[in-house]
Amino acid sequence: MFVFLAENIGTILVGMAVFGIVSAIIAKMIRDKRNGKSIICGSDCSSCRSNRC
Amino acid sequence: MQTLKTIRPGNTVRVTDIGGVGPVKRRIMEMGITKGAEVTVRKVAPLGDPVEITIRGYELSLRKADAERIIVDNRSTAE
Amino acid sequence: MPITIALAGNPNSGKTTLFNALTGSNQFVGNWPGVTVEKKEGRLKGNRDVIVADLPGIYSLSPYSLEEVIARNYLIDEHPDVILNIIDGTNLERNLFLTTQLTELGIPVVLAINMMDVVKKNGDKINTSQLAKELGCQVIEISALKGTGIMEAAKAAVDTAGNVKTIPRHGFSGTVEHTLAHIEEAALHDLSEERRRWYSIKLFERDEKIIAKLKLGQEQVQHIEDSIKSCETEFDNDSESIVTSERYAYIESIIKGCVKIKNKGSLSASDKIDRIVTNRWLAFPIFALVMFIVYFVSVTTVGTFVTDWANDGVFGEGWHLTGGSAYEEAAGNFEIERLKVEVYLTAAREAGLNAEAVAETLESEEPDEAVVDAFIADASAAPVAAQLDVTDEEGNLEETLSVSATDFKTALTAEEPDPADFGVWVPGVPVIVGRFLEAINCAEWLQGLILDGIIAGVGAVLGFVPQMLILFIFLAFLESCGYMARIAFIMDRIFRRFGLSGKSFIPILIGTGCGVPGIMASRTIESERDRRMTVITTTFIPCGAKLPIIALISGALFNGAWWVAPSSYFVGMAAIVCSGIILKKTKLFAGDVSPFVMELPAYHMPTAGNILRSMWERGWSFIKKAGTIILLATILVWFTSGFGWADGSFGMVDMSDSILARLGSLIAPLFAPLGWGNWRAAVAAVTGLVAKENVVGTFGILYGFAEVSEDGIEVWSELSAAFTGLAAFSFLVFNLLCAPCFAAIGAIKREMNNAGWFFIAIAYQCVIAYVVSLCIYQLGLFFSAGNFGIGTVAGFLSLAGFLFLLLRPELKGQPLKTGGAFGINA
Repeated sequence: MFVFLAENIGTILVGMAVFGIVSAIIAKMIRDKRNGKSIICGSDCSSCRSNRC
Repeated sequence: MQTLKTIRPGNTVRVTDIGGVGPVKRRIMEMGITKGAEVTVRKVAPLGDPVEITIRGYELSLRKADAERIIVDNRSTAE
Repeated sequence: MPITIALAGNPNSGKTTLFNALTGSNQFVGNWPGVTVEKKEGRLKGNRDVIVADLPGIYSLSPYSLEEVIARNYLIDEHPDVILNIIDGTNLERNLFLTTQLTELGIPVVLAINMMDVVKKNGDKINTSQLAKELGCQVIEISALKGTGIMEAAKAAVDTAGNVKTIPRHGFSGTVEHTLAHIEEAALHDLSEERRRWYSIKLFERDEKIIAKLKLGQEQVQHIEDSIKSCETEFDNDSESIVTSERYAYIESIIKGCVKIKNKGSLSASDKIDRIVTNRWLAFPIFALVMFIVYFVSVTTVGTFVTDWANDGVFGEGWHLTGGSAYEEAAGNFEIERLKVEVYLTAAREAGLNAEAVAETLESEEPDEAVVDAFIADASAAPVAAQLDVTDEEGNLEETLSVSATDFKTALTAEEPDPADFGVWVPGVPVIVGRFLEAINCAEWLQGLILDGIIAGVGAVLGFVPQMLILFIFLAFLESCGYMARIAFIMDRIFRRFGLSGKSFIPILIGTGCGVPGIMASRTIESERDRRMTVITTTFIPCGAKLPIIALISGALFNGAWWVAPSSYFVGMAAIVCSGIILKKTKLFAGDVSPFVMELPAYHMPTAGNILRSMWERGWSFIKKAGTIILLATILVWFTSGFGWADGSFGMVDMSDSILARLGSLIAPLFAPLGWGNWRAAVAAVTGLVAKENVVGTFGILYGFAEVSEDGIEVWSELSAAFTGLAAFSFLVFNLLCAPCFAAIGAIKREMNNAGWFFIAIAYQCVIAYVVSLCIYQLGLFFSAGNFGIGTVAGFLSLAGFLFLLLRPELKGQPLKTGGAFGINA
């Protein structure tokens, strides 16, 4: 088992990093949805600079 | 009797009456165009409509159809 | 006990800026119950016991527009502890009109005169203590923009809350007061003292909503009506007008005593600018020119330069921080040597020598020296000589070199220059990451996910950030200087002809940044029908997220042709105007035109800081979007395009056998008449529904963005090979016009507040997109190549149908009813 770990340590670390990032993103999207913000751009338009004329 | 519609840009006139009834008349008056108020016609938009007027110190743009309801004293006051 | 401060004031008075300053980030945004108007509340900074409620910007408390009804219902029903009335100091008279009404409600009022900085700059003087005495409320000078006086205003409001009663100082003329007293007696004895004033005036004005609210009996209503009628006869005017006139008369009298305007009547700088910009003949050309410049510069000129750096450099092989030109030179020289070899070999063949053996061995990793030497010996003996024409970029002849056997031998020793040897070479992201992953022995599939999936997709999108930033700078400037309001003024006549008012243009202008606030901005339009129409057409104008698509197509598929980027803007405008005409002629939308009474704010020069901040905020939001939702989408696309069932088992397959390819192939035929019936394009368009940038991201993965073509020049070479010019333009137009991203679709759903209307909106957008793209492709094929087929027939039929809907006679609209112009259902 340790041999497996040692050989594939690179893959495992990178894989965990990617998984971590993806989870963080999804978690943030769920939080945004709960707070009434848009999940796509993470803002609620009132503080968005694009909301001006 | 002249209406605001016919006043050329650059002229200042006084409002004597506002025709019609209802929400549009109310809105026009609420924006400051009341009997006795001074109105200056600033310019007419490229296609003839709307018109931009100066009323009570600010710029307002009005449809010609609405300007037609506003009856003015056609003695132009000097600017 | 929490105190509530209600923030009330005219539109454009700086209310939003004040609200943000008072509450910071402690805001909660929702909707006023039952309607789609935004409700903002927040806690006062530094005092969590105080709630600030932001009321919609209103000119009056009349019953005729949604915003006004909401505001007054809040004020009478919720009864906040104090009203903070924000007033534009450069526009006192009209702003005070609302104030006279607010003071009648029986709620304490504190006045905050905003824009004092501008007032002082103009040299005008406002005697605030005199004003306070006349109006019976505290008056605080503020400048929301500069940040002065805000906390004093807040403190004054808090102190006044619930303590002091604002007694309305202003009385109407005798006869009116008499009538009001009558009304109070007849109908309002049940109300508390301080409320009676406002209600009596409303009843005098025959306010239907108040009459209903008070549940008055027939007799009472009749009695009041008689009183009103006699008053009206005396004044020879209707009650509403009497009240409004007297209010302004009162305001005029106060102003005389408290305000001194310095330069009355002279042309301000704004007026001078307007003379040119809204001039009868120049206005349109100027507008067209401005938007053309914005898009041309952002995408095609400056934009292309920075994007090439981003795409080929940062996300490609790499780029030179310094030493770029030296490398270019060396690479050029190497190229000449290489061509010398080629040209000499050709000459040798022509002379009858056998060049195949040497050509073959030269191609191999380790050329056979003996074969090469033998060839050179033969060639020198012949003797074989060649000529090389060196041309520059445009194909013009620069110089002619002669190539002898010796030259040939020298040329063979030339080494390809390594960019890393010249100056500071920064390798591209894929290169760096690739090396790292190799070094730590990361598994193949994971490398694939990261390099061919995430970096390819997100990198493709991020490559356009520089162009977006430039566009954002332009937009920020146009918005903050006030030019946009002028556009509404100019466009009103056209819009009116086609069924909308100039007010409908504001959401469209906001939509050039992001469609979601644009759709929400349609709330300022009073007519329900016009509002719906505006919501449907707002997203036709290209938003920021569509810019990468425009940039990609104009850059990769049209080689940076000057007309492509601006054309996307004008196609959007045309779609809006045409949709306006077409829809207005249908039963659903026909009706009288809504009134257009609009205020034009003064121009002002935006500060560089403001513009840069705006650009940075939007840019950063774009980058964040790329790193979140787009990143997720690229992973999904990579997975579904790299895996599938082959030979009965599931695993990594060739792209064309993947799940995505199979699914895509099912819907691809739908787009064949549009010129791009391949699965990759179809899939890309669909991913665009999540976020428009995904079209570029998906293309990045499906067309191998991370792999550079052999000669290292074009990054998007595979893509440009897959689309003809006509198909590319048709694809562009389809993505510009079809249903927007989920966020905007959600906004449309919320604004329509009705499943039927929502469906109509989305369906209309998709149909228009399809039909227009169809016409472009089919008719384009016909006129350019003479192809005639069933598609062409479809194209002509669509065009005919389109023109019919556009040009048919207008339906008779319904007559303008009282209140009908404002279409209130609340």
